[in-house]
Formats: sequence, C-alpha cells, structure tokens
Amino acid sequence: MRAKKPAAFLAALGLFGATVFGYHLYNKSHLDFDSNAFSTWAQDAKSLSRAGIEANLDENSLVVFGSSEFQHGSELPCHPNQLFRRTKLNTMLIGAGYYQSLSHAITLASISDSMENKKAVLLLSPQWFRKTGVVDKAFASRFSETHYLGMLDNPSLSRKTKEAIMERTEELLAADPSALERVEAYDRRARGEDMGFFENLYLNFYQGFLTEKDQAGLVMQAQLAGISSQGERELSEEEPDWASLGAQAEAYGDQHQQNEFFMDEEGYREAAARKAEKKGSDADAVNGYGFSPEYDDLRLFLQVCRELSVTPMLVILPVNGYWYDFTEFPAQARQNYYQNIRDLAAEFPDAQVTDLSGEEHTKYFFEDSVHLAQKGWLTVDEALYQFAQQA
Amino acid sequence: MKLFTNLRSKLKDHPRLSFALWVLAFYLLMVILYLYLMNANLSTAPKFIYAQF
Repeated sequence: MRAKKPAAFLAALGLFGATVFGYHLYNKSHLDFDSNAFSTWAQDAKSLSRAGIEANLDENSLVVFGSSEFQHGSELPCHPNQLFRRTKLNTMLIGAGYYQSLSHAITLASISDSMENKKAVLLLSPQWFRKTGVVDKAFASRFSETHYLGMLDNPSLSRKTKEAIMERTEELLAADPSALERVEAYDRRARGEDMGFFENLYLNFYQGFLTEKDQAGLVMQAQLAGISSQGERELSEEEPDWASLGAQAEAYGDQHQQNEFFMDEEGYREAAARKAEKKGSDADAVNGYGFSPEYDDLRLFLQVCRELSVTPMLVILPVNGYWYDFTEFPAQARQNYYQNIRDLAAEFPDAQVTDLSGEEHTKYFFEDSVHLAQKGWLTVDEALYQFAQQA
Repeated sequence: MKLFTNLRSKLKDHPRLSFALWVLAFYLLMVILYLYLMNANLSTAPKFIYAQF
C-alpha cells in the first residue's frame, strides 16, 4: 500500500498536467471577446491584462487611457461604455482610479506592437498633478508585472527611455518590497547583467505563471461580468447624433443636476456633506497643480508615443469650476496648470491636444467634484470619434 | 466508526480502487491549489483605499 502512494501521486501529477494544459488552451481560445463589450468594460482585471488587451485590439480599436472617470456613469447613454457599444469604433478603455501617466506609459509600451491603429488618447485629470504626483502605494496597487515585462521586451523603445521608466518604477515600488525585488531582477536581466542560473529559472517560471494567471483570471472575470466571446453582430458605421445626445444630456441635467455646483444628486449629497470643511479650504493653493513629478511622467508617456510611432491625443479635462470656486482654489493656478500641459504637449509636435479647460463652468459637465457627467462625456466622446476618423 | 473501519477493510481488499482513490485525492488537491493560485489576489502591494479626490 505504501509503495503505491508515490505511484498514485505521479499518476495524479500526469492527470493534473493534462488538465492544466487543457485549461490553458481553453483560456487562450476564450480571450477573444465581444470586442466592444470587452473594450468598454472598465475593470482592473482588464487594464492589468496584457494578453486580454492584445487579443482584443483590431483595426477599429482606439486605445483610450484614463482613470477613475471610466467607472462613473457607465450605465448612462453618453458614457463610452454605452455610446460605443454598438459602433464600429471600438474604444479600448484602459484605467481606473490612480492609473496615471507612468502606468499608462508602461502599458502603451507593452501593447503597442498589437495596436493596428497607432493612436492613443490620454484623458488628463488635473488631480494627477498634485505636489506628490502619483502616490507610491497607489502605483504599487495598480502595477502590472506582465505589462512591465512587455515594456522591457519592446525592441523599439530606446534604452534611455527604458532606463527612465525603470528608475521611476523602482522609486515608486519601494512601497511594495516583494514586487520591487522582482522588478529589480527584471531590470538587471534587461540590462544584460549576469544572472545566476536559479535566479533566471525562477524569473522565467514566475513570468510563465503570471501570464497564465493573467489569462485565467481575466477569462473568469469577464464571463462573470457577462462578456461573451466574439460573435457576429451588426455594428453601426453611422456617426452618433451628437446634437440629439446633447439635448438628452441637457434634459438629464435639467432634471437631475439642479444645485449650485450642477452635480448629479449623489455627487451633490457627498459634496454637501463636506461643504463646511471645504469652503475656502484651497485658498492657499497658489501653486496648486503647478509643480509635480507627474509632468515628467507625462513627458515619458509622450516620449514612448514618439519612439513607438503612436500619435497621442491629450484631452485636458477641466476642473469643476463651480466647486473649485467654492473651495477658492485660485483660478490663476488652474490656468497655469492648463498652460503647463499645453506647453509640454508643444514639445512633441505629433501630439494633438483637445483642450477642455474652457468647460470649467459648463453646467452639467460634472457629476461630482471631479468626474464627468453625461454632458462632459459627450464632449469627450465626440473628440475621440473625430480623432479616430483622422487618416 | 464501524462504518469507517469496514470501509477501510474493503479498500484493503480492493487495491485498484484504493489506488484510484489516492490518485483522485492527490489530483483534487493539486487542482484546488492551482485554481486558488490562478484566481486569488496575490498582490503584495500595501492596502490602498481609493478615495475620491
């Protein structure tokens, strides 16, 4: 009996190996989803998944990088999740709260070879440009090793740019020592330094494990979210009726956004609860958003675009002027921020800019102090659409 | 208890069944461990509470 247990273990191992292989093939074949539903699905599992994003990019895809705005209002008609769900234009939304320029630079470098349409949009939130830039713990929580490895493996990215990304990443990953240790090893390998046999073996094994986990986790989460595999569907080639949608957004605002900040009901409830503490609280922010490491991270993003022949469009999102006036965040500081972005973009002649700074006091633009409402989304959607149509 | 000891005696008399059950037990353990590794959040990043700006 005792001699049979090792044999039983080996037999089980063989069966397990066959199961894992079968599971691998199943996940690989199910990564190709209903493109629009997957692309507009704003979920961490997707944003972190190199394999998932690459498998769902096609000639009609437009990569759109952003942050928390993707997760607000996604059931409303003007959110890209709804507006571009049945159109030929397939907006691949990448990001969630605290995804900022550096994360997106890494992701872009990771997926660029799979992008048939070499254009990328970056929705810039002013709040990224606080004095501290991206918070290290937030960066660590959003860090994707598969994208980072993809970036390191991209032969079109210069050594200088890779070094800048490596340095900045190591700095921010001090908040996650385990991940930092692995990243430092990846970086040493990328620099061609001598790695020990076992260290190399471990890194290769771990990389394989991450890739499997990436695929398996994404397939399961997508299926749970009701996102099916690719099927034959009619996609509209017609341009959305911006005027009609605008009227709908205005009517929605007339009904649901009637308060001093023109936020929606939920946004206003949260803001109203903080009114006493927030009134005049930003009066001293004369250099607010003026100095931040985020500017260098944004420069890195644009540099990545340049080296990979990707045409970027920066969308300068405004602040909610009504709320920011209430907190007395200096208007001049806000204007200085917008000008800083324009100046930075001008360093890269290929970079296009959609400047929405003039919308600070557009009623119904925001659902709360920072996130876009229907009217705001519609403005952004039209910019995305026009950019995608350019030759 | 008697049921268990009876079952154990029966298994001793059927080595193939006993072997198959051991294979099944090892296999299930491996599959459970694998599915856990594939789906668990193994991130070592510090907890970060997303807060609206």
